[in-house]
Amino acid sequence: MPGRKADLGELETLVMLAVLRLEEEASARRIREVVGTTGGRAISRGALYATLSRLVRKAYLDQAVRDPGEGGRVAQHFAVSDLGLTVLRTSQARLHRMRVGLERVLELPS
Amino acid sequence: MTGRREHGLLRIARWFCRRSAPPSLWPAIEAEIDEELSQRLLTDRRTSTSAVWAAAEFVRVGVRLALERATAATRVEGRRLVSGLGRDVRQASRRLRSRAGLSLSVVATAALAIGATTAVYGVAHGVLLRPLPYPESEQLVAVWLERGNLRDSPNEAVRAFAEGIGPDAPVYRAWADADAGFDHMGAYRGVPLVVQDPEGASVVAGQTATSGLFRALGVDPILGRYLVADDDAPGAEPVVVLSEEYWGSRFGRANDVLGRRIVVDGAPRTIVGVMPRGFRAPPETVPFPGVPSTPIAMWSQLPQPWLDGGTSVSVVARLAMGVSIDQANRALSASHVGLVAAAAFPDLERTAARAEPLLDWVVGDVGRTLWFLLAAVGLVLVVATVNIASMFAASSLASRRELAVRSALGARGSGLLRMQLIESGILALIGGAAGVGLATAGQSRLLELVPPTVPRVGSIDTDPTVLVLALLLTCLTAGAIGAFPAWLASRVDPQDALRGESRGSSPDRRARRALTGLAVAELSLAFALTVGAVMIGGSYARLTSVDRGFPTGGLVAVTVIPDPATHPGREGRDRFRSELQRSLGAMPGVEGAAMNSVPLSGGRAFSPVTVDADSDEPREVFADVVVGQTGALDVLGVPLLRGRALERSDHADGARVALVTASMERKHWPDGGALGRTIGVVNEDEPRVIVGVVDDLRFELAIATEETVLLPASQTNRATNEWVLRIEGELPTALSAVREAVATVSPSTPVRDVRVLDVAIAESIALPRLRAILIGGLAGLAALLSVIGVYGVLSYTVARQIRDVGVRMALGARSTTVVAGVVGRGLKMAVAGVGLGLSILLPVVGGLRSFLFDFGPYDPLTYVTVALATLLVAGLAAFVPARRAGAVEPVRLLSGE
Repeated sequence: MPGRKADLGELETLVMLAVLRLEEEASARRIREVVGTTGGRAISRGALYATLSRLVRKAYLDQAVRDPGEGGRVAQHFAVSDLGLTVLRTSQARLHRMRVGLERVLELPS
Repeated sequence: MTGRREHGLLRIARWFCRRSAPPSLWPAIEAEIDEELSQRLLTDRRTSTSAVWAAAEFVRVGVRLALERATAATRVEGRRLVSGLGRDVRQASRRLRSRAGLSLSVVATAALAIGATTAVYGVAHGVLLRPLPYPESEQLVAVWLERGNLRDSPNEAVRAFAEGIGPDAPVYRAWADADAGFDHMGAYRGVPLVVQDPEGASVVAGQTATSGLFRALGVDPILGRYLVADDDAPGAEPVVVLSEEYWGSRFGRANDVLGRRIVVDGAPRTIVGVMPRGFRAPPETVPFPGVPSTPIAMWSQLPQPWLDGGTSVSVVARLAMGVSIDQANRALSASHVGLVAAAAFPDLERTAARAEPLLDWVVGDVGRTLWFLLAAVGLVLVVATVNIASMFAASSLASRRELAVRSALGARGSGLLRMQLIESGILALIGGAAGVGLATAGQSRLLELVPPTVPRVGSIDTDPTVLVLALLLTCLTAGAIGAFPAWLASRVDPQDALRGESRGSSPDRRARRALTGLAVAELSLAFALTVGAVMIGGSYARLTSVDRGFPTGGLVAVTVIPDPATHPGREGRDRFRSELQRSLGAMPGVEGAAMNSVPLSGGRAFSPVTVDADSDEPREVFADVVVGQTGALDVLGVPLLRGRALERSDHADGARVALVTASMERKHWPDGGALGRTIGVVNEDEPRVIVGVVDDLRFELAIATEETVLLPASQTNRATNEWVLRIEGELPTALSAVREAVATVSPSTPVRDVRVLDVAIAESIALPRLRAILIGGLAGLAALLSVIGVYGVLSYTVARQIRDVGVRMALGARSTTVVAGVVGRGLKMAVAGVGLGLSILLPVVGGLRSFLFDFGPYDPLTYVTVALATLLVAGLAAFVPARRAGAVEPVRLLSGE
């Protein structure tokens, strides 16, 4: 994306990774759970929705409303868009390059 | 809390969150919170707690989303603003180009005003505001004596010496030993030093100092050491510390210079260190005759005789950590009072010790001039800004049809305002840049005007803060240019303007009134500045034409201190003087005589004398004491009025005699009977008999000398090393003759510090000259701008009312009446301007007193003359548009409609 800043913040990255992990199950509630349990970062509902709204506005996430389930509740579900995937890949690759050789210091599996 | 209220709270919170959330996200948010709420309600019977929780959750999420939206919106708006700005700038540039004349005048006025302000501020910043070049220089103070006996003297010249004078070395030591809250204290004095080389003698600038000076200033040597406490002791080994400049020029920066010996003032001294480039103790504000200024070549110990007292030194000290200058002053005063009470120093009677920030002491009286000039240039800036605003406003009013069309086509008021501000911003930016250019170019011209006697001239340069000021001024100008016309523009009623000429309408009257008000404001400031300029310029003119008491053309002062090796002791010095005078007499075109201080060459010597010393009513006064060799008064050209001049018979063993000046006789012996009366001179046992009365002579142009006593050089021990020379023909030829004459008497004695008297006099009034030139220029600029202002307003008014004029003339009004009416309007503006100017000037004009010579700040003639000139110029400015109005041909005008 030439000419446009395509950086991802830490929370944005966590949210996008959670959406990828959850695949079809990526509702706001589940995303928050995954970020908390797998990502190890507890976030407030407000922070999550602000991040989701930003990612949707940047077109990194797509959203879809699925048919109400048994309880008749609205189940909204998110998916990483193509653009979002590109940005995430770029960002992760950049991080990876910077990490190479620092595994011992950062205590990462080599 | 009731259930209904809980429900209400939740409803409001829900509404708020829905408003903040993007519509696509809202269903998910609501579903999630509601789901958790219903789970809570299942487990918790207290519904209120759960509802409050849910409300809080909605509010929290709502706030975060609202913030998120606001941030995003700001980013988008910012981008739009930037892209819109480019278009507006292009549009504004086109409009400005279509009014090239106006744009140029605005830019020129802004450039002149910003340039003048920046240049004057640059000088003021360098001298007044820039810190001294020492570490933590704000901790440094100058310590000096205040002499009560001088302060109360009726003699103005004496009063000038009441403050800021250094103590002698013993008093300095007593201060330094007292615990007055100073970390270090040092004494020093600038002197010319004679360095003897195998090639001959050369004179360099030096400072003699105590070790405390270096510690107080806190600058480390780059090689070796500076003076230390052991060097201060009487009988210590003579040493010298070199400046980096002298080390480079004389020793080629050789590292083995330490330990070498050089002969300074006839004695060998060991080089112990080198100080960094540019280092020097602050220049004394009291000029010492015969002291060349920068760069200082070396520092040596205070000369042995000075340690015993009698020679004043400058004292600087560094305040201890946490000690304020007030605390230090209290402690210093207390210890000084102790010294006075102990009567250890008889000279200290009626004195007090004062510490003053070193920067203030260094800047001295020049500070007042610079603050004054800053104020004046500030006024010019105001005049210029007002002028620009009214030029711009008149032009905007003229183009109000265009504005009206835009407005009628749907342009919003804020859009029109934005356009006006952009136009003014462009003009101000160009004006500001040109102003900085002018200031940079003009600063070197300005510095040529700044006399070398102004302290810290070297620290004047273009400083970032000066540029910041220029930028600020530019913004200010842009605001002023833009705001007023924009205000006028925002009041344009499209219907009114589109109907055509709306000359009688009330917005039009308001605009004319506003423009007239601006022109009157300009006139008032210009009037105030011009009055000040006339008084200051007049003072300078009177200063240059003041009666000097003797013809100064062809007079030169030089310092010739005989080498003690060839002419030791008082007898040797007397012999040297006689021999040199004889030797000079043999040279063609030169005559000369030794004095203690050549009048008007920069120095003067005061001393207490006792009038009618042998009578029952002796009176002690402070007088200028002139010591002269026989013939000194002839060389100077001071006429003898009565009695006799100094003669060869007034030798050391002869009767002790003195001469007095006419004004001294008038003051003490009004009946004209000075001859035969007596004068007692300090440190002399017997009184002197007055044998002659000479005409008055001046030591400074600005201060009349009231009491002067003249003594024969052979009858006093006072240093008599200045020579006054009257030279015919070319100066270089004459000077080489003088050097030759000195060399025949003593080859190892150099001729130092040549001062052409007329040049020295010009230098002594260089500051008044600078003031006169700058304030004159500024007042001229302000006057020109205000005339343009009057012209602009009346031109605008005439243009707006040209149809009325035509109708009146068609109805029989004579063209002279029309012309008189417009000129009358201009004169009314001038009268209002003069009135307003007086009300601005009168409360503050007393502050000019110290800049005036032979001029009172309330001199009525000045006020009346400037007021009449203002009326005349305003009348002339009004005459041009008035003639245009008077030349209207009603038939053509009305038929053309």
